[in-house]
Amino acid sequence: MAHGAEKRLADLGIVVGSRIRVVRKAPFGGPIEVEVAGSRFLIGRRLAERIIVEV
Amino acid sequence: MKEITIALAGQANVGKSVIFNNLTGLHQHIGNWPGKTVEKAEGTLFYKGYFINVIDLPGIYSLTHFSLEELIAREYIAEEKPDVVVNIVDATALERHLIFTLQLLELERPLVIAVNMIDLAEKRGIKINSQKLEEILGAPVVPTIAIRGKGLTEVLDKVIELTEKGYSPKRFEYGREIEDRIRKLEDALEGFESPYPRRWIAIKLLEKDEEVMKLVERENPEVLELAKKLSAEIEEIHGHDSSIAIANERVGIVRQIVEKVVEIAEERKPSLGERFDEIATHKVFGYLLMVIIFAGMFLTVFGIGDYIVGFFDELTESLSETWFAYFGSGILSELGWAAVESFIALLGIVIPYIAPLYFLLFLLENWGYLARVSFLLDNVMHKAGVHGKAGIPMILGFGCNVPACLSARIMETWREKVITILMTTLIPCSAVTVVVMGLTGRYLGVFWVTGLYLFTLLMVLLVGRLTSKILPGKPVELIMEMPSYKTPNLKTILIMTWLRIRQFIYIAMPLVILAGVFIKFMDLTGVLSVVSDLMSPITVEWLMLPKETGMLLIFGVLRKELILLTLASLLGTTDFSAALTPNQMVTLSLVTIFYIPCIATIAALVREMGAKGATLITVAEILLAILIGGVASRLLLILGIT
Ligand SMILES: Nc1nc2c(ncn2[C@@H]2O[C@H](COP(=O)(O)OP(=O)(O)O)[C@@H](O)[C@H]2O)c(=O)[nH]1
Ligand SMILES: [Mg+2]
Repeated sequence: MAHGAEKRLADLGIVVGSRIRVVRKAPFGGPIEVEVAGSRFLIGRRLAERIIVEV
Repeated sequence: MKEITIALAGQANVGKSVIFNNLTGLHQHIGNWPGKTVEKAEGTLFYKGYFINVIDLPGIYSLTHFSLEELIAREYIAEEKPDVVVNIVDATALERHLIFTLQLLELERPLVIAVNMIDLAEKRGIKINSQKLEEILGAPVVPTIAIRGKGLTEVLDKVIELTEKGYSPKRFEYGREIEDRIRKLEDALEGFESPYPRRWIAIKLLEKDEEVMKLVERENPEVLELAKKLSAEIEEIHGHDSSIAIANERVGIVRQIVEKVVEIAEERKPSLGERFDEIATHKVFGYLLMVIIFAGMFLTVFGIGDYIVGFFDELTESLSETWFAYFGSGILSELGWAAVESFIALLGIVIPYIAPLYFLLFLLENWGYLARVSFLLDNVMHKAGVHGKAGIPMILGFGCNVPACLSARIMETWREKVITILMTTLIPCSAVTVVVMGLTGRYLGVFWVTGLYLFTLLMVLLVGRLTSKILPGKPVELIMEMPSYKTPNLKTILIMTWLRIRQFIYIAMPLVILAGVFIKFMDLTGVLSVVSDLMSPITVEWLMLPKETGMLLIFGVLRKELILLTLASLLGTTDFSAALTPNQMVTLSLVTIFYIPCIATIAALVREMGAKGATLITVAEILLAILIGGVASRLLLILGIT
């Protein structure tokens, strides 16, 4: 993952081990909406795909 | 009287604008940050014998170098040293906001923390112990509800208290491996002259902040070498990039704080907004709703606008009679009238169109809907090399390019903003639509108009894609907050709209009047037709249009619909088929769409990108229009349309 993006996510509180809930995916390969610690974010699909999620 | 300066800092959507406008009302000055094209809002108020300057720092996500806004904010805090920084945080998302607070603390300015949206937090069963938070952070914490003005005087009280009593910032320590290296760098920086605290510089060096690295390299290249070595050691230990390792630790510190001060009640049922989002983001209904909202917005604005424009037309007419009866019809009188007429014409687009569109845009933003538009449009916008947020200015562009360009400031980086503005100015606004409908629509039918618009959209995406390839830098991935729906604050929106419209009129007025008078002068002295003739190698030979086209296009710079009006007055009839072949109608429509932003849009460009950027875009678009027009007219010939 690009460090810039990883850093931005970290500044939003999204780090390795954060509990992320996928709220919805935008149609036609658009961004993914996630919920982390009570806030919701949009993350571009390509970036989101690089965030490895373990359930 | 004692004077204090406070700076408001916070992430987007925390209620910073509501607080700023609540504190300062109409005592505001809107401008740009020196040398930058980011908006600067300053205001003043009197409170308990103090004259307080309030600076609204640009909304930010973190103090890491990632966008111009953040750079401006931290430079301001470190260099201008406001007496107190008021950090506004969101009670419903304390964790994310406190990460930013920690970074503010590292700048070591006196800090007051306003925990805003306490009402929403309560509704969601979130309880915050502000006393405890205050103890932990070592800075005053005040719960606020900005939309009701609650807690704001307490914030001011704390500000005054801090300036009177003094303040020593609390420092949060990172884990051993990182903390030791911060100390080492701090020691190495002994004697380094800078407005920034030494510890802050040390941390930023380990975070590989480009600006700070440049700063240090100039004077102490050996410290930079040391920093690189220490970062590498951290990476060795943590297995991450050192900037990530530090950010991770900040998150860890914040989580510990949150655990101590926040209590969350068990499960809650989905809110009304969350259920509404099922529709607003749906793959069919979402787009439908978006079209309805924006179409409704445009139809309302333009429906009402038509009435108001009628009023302005009458005003112009009666004023013109009076003017010429009084001043006669000499050249000076004509020029004077051109100035007055241009000014009225400017008001004639600002009042009925630009102001309401701007107001509605703020309303949609405040409500939280714009984030949903980004969600729906991200995919299309990616094809043009930008992300979903760029869709908002582009949609507005169909109404009027001016508020559209002004709204492009929502893009994070200079690069994204340039691409977005370039695409936006190519979107056919309502005035262009009038021309296209009056020519192509009237004589060739709606089918052709649809074709032209589809072609235009394709071109817009292509231009976006090309510029995103040419411009330096990498595309920014979409990461944005999806704020919950909120009740918009009417007072804030009205003040914000009014001040920005007023500022726009100041910027646009000289340009619009100058252009109006200049073109009138050229017209009166016959220079205009000479220029029009000089343009004939392009207009007549390349574009294969009548030789008067030059004249039309020059008038069109003032307002695009003048292309039709001028054509009608030159012909003495509104039957344009007498003068233009179908081929020429399509070509002229295309040239009208692409050739130049109107003078008011150019003024908006000057505000957003400076004179140089505005000129560059204008020239580029003229060339593009010439290219497209000429090629199109030849292609049409091949297709048998003469
Ligand atoms: N319920 C509630 N809404 C708020 C509060 N403060 C701000 N808002 C709303 O939150 C939205 C974002 O506020 P704004 O000032 O534009 O945020 P900014 O991005 O920080 O400037 C607006 O709709 C405000 O009306 C608050 O304390 N309570
Ligand atoms: Mg704001």
